[in-house]
Amino acid sequence: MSSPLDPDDALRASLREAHEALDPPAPSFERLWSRAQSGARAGRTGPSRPRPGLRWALVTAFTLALLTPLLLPRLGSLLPGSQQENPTLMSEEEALRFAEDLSAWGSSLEFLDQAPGLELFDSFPQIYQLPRSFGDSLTVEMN
Amino acid sequence: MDAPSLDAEDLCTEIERLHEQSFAWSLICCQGNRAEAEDVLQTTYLKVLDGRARFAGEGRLKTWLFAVIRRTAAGLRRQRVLREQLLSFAALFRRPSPAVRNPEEEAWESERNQQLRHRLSRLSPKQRQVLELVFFHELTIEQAAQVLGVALGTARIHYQRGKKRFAESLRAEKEGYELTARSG
Repeated sequence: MSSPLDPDDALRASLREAHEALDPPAPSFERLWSRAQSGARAGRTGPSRPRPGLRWALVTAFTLALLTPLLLPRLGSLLPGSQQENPTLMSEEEALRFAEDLSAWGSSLEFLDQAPGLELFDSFPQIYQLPRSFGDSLTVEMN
Repeated sequence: MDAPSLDAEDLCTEIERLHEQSFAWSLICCQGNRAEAEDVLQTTYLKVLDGRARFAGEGRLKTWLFAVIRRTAAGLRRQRVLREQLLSFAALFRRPSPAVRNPEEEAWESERNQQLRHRLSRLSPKQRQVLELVFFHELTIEQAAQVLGVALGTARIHYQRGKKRFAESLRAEKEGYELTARSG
């Protein structure tokens, strides 16, 4: 049994009083229900919301607007005929000529690399084939 | 009503029976904004009618309906905040219109009502919602947690703290009355 000072009862009474005093009267159920029914028949999603189709169209348009600058260069290279228009591609003959030109090219400062003794690096040294003069002296010493 | 399955007619009857309470709960979810509460309730009914909100027969219909109302209110509030943010720039150039109050509003703002408002305003929105669900709508704390979409422990904390704060404000009011009576 609860006393009049029971905090739960006081809270309950206070909330009831607040609702009675402060709440505006509820709208009639029939009005809201019939509005909702007509909204459901018309395929609407609420009193102030756009249709889902329209919402999805907006989302798609926004996404496409964001992705278009990223995807356009890639899509362009996949289109037929885009390879002929690409200036970086050349025919086989042109490529061979270009390779020949490249290999024939010489630097104007190439002479700086011509240091004395550089010929030693152009061939592999042969073991047991010493210079003739060096071999003769060796033979003499062994005898 | 705890019936496991309801046909459309029964559902309509039950929802009609709960209409007043649903509106009171919708008002709480909309911080007392009547027009918004009406919108929320209408959208909730629309969700029920077009099948977006379906009662599966688990638990009480009232718990389910209140949860749908809370979610709908939260969704509409998000939309409203977004709209207000978009329009806030335009509002900078608009001259504020003087607030006009009708006699009905004046009547609501009587001293007693101000006290009631003040008492309730001391509670946080979640505390107020839990206390409303438990003490006004007669739900259990577990059902209140389901309606609010929070864990039972969280709902218990809101419940305890809300009760404590409410008791403090009642005590403060009582002391104020006694002081006035003694001085008078």
